[in-house]
Amino acid sequence: MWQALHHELAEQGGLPFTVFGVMADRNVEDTRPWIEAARASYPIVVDTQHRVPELYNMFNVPTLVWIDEEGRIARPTDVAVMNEGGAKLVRVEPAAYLDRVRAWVRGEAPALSSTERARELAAERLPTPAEQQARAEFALGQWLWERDRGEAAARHFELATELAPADIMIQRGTMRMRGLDPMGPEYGAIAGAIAQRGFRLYRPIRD
Amino acid sequence: MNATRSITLLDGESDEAAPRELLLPVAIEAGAARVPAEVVARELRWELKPEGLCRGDVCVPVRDEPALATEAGLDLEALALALDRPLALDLDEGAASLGASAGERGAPLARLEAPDFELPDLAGALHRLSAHRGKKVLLTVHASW
Repeated sequence: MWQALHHELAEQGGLPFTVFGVMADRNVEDTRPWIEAARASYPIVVDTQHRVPELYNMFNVPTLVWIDEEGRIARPTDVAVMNEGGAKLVRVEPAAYLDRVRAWVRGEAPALSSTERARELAAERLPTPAEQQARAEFALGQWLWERDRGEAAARHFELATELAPADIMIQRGTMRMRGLDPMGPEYGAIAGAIAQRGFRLYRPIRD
Repeated sequence: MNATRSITLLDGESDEAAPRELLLPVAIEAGAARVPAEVVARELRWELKPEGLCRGDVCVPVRDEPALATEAGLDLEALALALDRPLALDLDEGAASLGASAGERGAPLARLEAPDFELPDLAGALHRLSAHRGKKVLLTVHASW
């Protein structure tokens, strides 16, 4: 999905820029069709243990973070989807978003209005003890599931979803391992319940 | 009644691709899973001293030492509590996961430092985020579901 942008800026434009893709999935095989279809010339890695979601405190996909040349977060956890349906859902206009990335990479505009704004956005989303407890339950569940101890795994996934109901990475990402369909009506009901509790499934950044 | 057996402890403190897997001897004492203090010191690098739980020069005070330490060892739940780290424990399965504290994970994010990581691609080749220093990086996280 981001290959065209990577090609335009890094390969054609010769700018110091890369897209870095992460697939947070239960196993490598689930990611294969997706990664092969992406035909990416940038790295796409597989993250079965949700290391990146944990390190960056991410709750949902797709998620974007803009990182500058010094390894500093220029724009914290953000969302953008390039297809029309997804774009409507997350309320981010794809063309405008791509223009923002281009302007940042070319050095024509900052990633956000100010560093203070970036700090404020980062402070809005710092992990809580309950969310870290949920991640510990997830890690144990994933380990058990990888060893064919599915029933025990499901118990820990359920505990994780109770501790952090708005963590879609865990809620939806573990559905197949709990015998549920992440694309079916069950997820719709979960998403509805989360929204009703006032949690936002996505956080598009407004400057 | 005490029973000694072993437990697999997943140590999720580091930023490695997968948690470190430790096989530790454990004694079950009144429902508590106790790991010998010398094993905790060797494997988790936390040592119980008069000033608290210590790692190098850093010591964490322990509020309830009798609950934490008996002759059988350190109670994993009390240890996690003292270190402010989450513990998922499943004695029936003989496995536990000791995660990272919210404070430890949140600190670099609050400072706007991008946490580093290294993960494999489809072919198994490892890619490290910090290998791209000097470039702007658009980090994109997706899932197939």
